[in-house]
Amino acid sequence: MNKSHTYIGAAVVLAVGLLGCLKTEFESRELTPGRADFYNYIAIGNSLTQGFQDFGLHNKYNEQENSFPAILAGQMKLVSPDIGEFVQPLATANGSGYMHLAEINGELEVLSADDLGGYGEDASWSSWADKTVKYNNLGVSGIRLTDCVPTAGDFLSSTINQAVVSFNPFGRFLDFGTPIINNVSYLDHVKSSGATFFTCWLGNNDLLLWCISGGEATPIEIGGVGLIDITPLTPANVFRNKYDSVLTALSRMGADGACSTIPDITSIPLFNTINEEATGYPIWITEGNGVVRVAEEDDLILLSASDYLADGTGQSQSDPLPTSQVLDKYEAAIAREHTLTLNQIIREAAEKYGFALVDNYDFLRPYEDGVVLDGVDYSTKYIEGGVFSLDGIHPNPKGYALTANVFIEAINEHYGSTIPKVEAGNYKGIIFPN
Amino acid sequence: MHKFLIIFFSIVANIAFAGGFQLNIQGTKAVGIGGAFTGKCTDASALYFNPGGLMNLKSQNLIFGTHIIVPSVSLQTDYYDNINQTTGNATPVHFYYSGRYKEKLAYGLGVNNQFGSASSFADDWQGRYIIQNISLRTFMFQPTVAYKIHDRISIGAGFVYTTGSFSYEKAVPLSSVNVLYGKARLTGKGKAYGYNVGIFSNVFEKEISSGVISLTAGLSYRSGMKIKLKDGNAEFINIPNSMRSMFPIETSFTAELNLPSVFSGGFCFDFAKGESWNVNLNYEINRTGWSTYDTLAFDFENEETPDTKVTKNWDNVFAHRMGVEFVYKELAALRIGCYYDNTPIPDGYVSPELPDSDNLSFTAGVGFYGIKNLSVDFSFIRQVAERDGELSEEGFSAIYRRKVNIYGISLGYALDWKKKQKSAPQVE
Repeated sequence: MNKSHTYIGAAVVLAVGLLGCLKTEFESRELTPGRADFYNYIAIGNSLTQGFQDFGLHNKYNEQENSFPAILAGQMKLVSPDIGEFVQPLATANGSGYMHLAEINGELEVLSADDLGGYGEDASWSSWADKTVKYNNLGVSGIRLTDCVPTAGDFLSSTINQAVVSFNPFGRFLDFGTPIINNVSYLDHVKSSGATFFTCWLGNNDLLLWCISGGEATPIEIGGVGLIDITPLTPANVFRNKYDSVLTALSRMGADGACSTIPDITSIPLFNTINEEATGYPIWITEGNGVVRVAEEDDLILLSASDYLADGTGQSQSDPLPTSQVLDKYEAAIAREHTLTLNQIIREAAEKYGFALVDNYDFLRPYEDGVVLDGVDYSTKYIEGGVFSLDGIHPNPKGYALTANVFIEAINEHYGSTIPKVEAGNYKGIIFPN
Repeated sequence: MHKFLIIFFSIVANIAFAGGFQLNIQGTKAVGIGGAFTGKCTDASALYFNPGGLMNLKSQNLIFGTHIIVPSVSLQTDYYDNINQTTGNATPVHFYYSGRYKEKLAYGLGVNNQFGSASSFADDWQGRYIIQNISLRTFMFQPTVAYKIHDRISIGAGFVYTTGSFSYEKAVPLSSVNVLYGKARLTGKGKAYGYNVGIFSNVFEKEISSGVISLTAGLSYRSGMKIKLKDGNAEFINIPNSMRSMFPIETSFTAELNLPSVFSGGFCFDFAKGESWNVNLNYEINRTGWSTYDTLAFDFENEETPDTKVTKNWDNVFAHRMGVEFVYKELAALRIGCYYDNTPIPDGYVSPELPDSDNLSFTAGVGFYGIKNLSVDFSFIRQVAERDGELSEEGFSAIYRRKVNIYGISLGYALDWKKKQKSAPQVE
């Protein structure tokens, strides 16, 4: 029996030795800001930066708190724990009012803020945001690059800009001064921000506003100046100069940062939901030059045209959709071409000043055909695509989380930082009615 | 107000029961020598490994055994440094009985769990829209007969009746005001039929100056099987009310699970030194027909629930098994072995529940024969694998680390009615 004891002993030693070896855990990866200084991160941009979605600025279910800069700032804190709080001008509850999905008579319908049963603006909205607070998120919905910087040699420009941004309710958290006497530009706010790091995602509206006007002019009366078209395509040379002014200011402040390109606006759901395939009948449109014809595949009809179609407009040659509801194929081609031009300017500028380039144009493109991520299908399709909000222009929280990751990747690559990406699955997509 | 028709994503089920889905732990003696038992057949587990080998056994043979599978699987993804599977331990069992009728006929019954798999993750883990929990358990019942067709050759065949139970949970990406995502739970039971045939030969036995050398060999084929889940139950939990027509509280589904065929061939080369001890070298090759496992389709009774079909695209694969056994006849046996398993899962199809990879595993075993006619055997398997894998259809990739320890124990009883059995160089 001595021998068997030896065998048992050997077997026990072997088994116990191997028992302890079931550890498979991975070590934590290093967290470092790399060469970037995230101490005072300032987000510069438009609605996409502000956290606008569902055609409104709202924070009822933390939508604005999950703006892409807020997500990004939260992740920056993981690599730089000592950075300060990221302050945003948060709307209360419904904020500006916004679109939502409702179930009416067993069918899902999209309700606008001012529809019966819609989520209208919050009582606090007219006095929203304290101008004396210093905000990290300077995103102003609707703002164009051209509104941010006075045009050189155009003495009216700073007053026009002042008027345009002052009219804009989404800019109420910033003090733009008094017309003519003391015009404070958006660029002035950038200069006084004290940014050590920035993200700059400007330029979308220099294209988008023209596109969502169906490629038409939108003249408004500005006191003392006259009728001004507030939705023209910003010309390339103007764009180049103004973009350069913004980056010059940031560069002089010694800030690090990242500049984003403009996604292909013609690929968003706003322009790709209403078509013959969806309606089941040919749609009559008016081209920008007045020609009436049946819409072709390359003509982009606005989402809002569904209201016209419901009333019969657009169903016959005698009652075509107005040109404001259509970005016809020639206009769409102009928009695409101009996107490429402006993006080239952004790329060159970022390179010139040594900032990171965030290519949101490249990022969005595969979503046109669909992208699968962690078992979820995403695409640019309206509602079912899962990344755009109900306005068909802006991302929903999931989409903003994915956007934050695009910034994180570019910043990490450029500055050698290791900011962890966020998991899109942790953010809500379209909110379905219960 | 805008009205829109919303056509939704499907409940894609990307389930992969990988190589480990076949539990190659159907006898502790076999496990000790890397699983190379088809050409050896020295206990009642021959019923499973090679029915033809039953003629190699004593008059009455009984084995009852179990294994405890202790897995540890970790993942590293783009987003998380470390994610651990929360899979618990599994305990497949096996039972074999064989008896002899006169000189040339043997019969037997086996019950085991040839296929099985379980994987669990925290409900909110990154891949929750692919899988949260999955388990498959099968029971095989195999009545078997064997016949001696020649002095040195016997054949055997068994009928395999299989029952299978399956459950699968994954998150559904639909948010409402108070819910981030819902859950789909699919459970089902089904049965299948198959067969197991084999041929076994005592090729030669020769006395040399220092002892006796002998060679035995065998071939076997276990057929593939199709488990039909006929009246599966699908539950959709935490779904926004407005999406209930598509994802109702409950509906039924049908699905088929293909279990692969396995072809095996092996031999055992033995050297016996007198009556007291012997040593043998065992080898076996398996070919598992995983390519039958090409699609997994769910067909829901509720018409609005999108039916799904997933392409698995697995390969047929070979595994090599080998081991050495030292037997001291009065007392104990010591076994050591290894096997090289090729994964059936091609690149781009690596799923988080069973991140299989080509791997070399080591096995060991020990048996004790202190009391007459009784035996106790212990076995151990150590699997270590690492794979950088992508499941491209689901947009998921990770680095996987997997370590598995499997501990086995079996009790055997073997009795010979006749005193001497000519063809039994190995000792029970």
